[in-house]
Amino acid sequence: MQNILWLAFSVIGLAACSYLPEQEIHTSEKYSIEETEDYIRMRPVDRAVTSSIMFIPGGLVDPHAYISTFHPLVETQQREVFILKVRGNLAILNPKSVERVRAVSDEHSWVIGGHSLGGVLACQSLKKRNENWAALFLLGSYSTIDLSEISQPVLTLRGSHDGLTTQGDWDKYESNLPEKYDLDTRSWPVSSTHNMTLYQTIEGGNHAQWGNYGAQINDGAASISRIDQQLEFNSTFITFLQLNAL
Amino acid sequence: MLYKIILSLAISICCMTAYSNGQELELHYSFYTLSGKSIDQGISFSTGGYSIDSRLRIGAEFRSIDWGNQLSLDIAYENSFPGISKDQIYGLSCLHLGWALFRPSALFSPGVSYTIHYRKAIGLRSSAEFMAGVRYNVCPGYRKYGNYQQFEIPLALGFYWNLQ
Repeated sequence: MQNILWLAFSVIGLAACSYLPEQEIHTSEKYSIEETEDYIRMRPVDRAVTSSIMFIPGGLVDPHAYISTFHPLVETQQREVFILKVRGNLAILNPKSVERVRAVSDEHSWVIGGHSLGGVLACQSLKKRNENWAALFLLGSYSTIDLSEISQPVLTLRGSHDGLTTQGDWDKYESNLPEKYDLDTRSWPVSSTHNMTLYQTIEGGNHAQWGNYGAQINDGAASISRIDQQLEFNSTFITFLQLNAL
Repeated sequence: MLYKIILSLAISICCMTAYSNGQELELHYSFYTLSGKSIDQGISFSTGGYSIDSRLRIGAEFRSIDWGNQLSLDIAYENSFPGISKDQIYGLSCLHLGWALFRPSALFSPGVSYTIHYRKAIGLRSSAEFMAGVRYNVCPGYRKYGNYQQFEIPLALGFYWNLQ
């Protein structure tokens, strides 16, 4: 009987384990970090904020693992980032927490996005309260619900070596998002990207390198560094925000 | 929420199975007060535990708290109050030997608590219990990432079934 007990504990332990950040939290004099039980807020120092970004971590990933992801954005831009914190690190089981954090400020536009399972919840949140969100971005993720009629601009990125969100997943769920605009084969649009979804593949990137938590089970091996993958994301994301005046 | 309930029940059932003279199953809901921050809600599930003797108990617990999920082995000492039957009101001093569930390795996360319990019998084989107390939990290995300690005011409503 004791074997059953230990087996149960082992299964629960493995199933409920979160990925921990690989390194200590990156800090900078150019932005402040405020942490509450609901979010980690990265806010520029001495620069007015023009938009807020809500980011939902991937399933069972510690939210601190995404501070480095948004470090270049907050350090150089007039945007603040809220990284959602939820019990058990499973945002998909705590959807109300998104609205709770969204209520923090109504001063300017909000953009919502997420990594992996977090992206799925971002899509659901946008569907539920469309008026609350000015744009959507997905990292190694896709929409499982129909958002094809939304007018907000959408940006979706995946690493070419992503072993968890595959090209097949992207193709399968493409019809759930507004009209595709492929940044891999076309240049950037010259005006706002409302009513369309910008797709970009980061060559050599994988699933885990959207955050900073080491290797993930079943993921592919990246051929570029985590920092390069995240810098490429920041560059694309900033262009996307500027193009849409966010 | 459903996920947590299933996990909790799995733990509890396994514990009761392992100890054939098992005692009780408890589900409780707590309100946590994070250190220096607003009141937050948390949830934890625990097995009622196995009595080593009339005052000493051990039990297991699964919790989702600020730094993630946590499993702990609880060792508790029961005290009574003068003039009050311990079948109705008693105190429980508890040492929680916890592990915060992280990859690549779990982080040690100990805690201590003192709670006062009021128990009301419901029939011959079951009872309801109200609990209130204080609790401190710390996860030293999490210090370099974020909030690594929390003070809590647990309030719980438990139901017990005597399986014997």
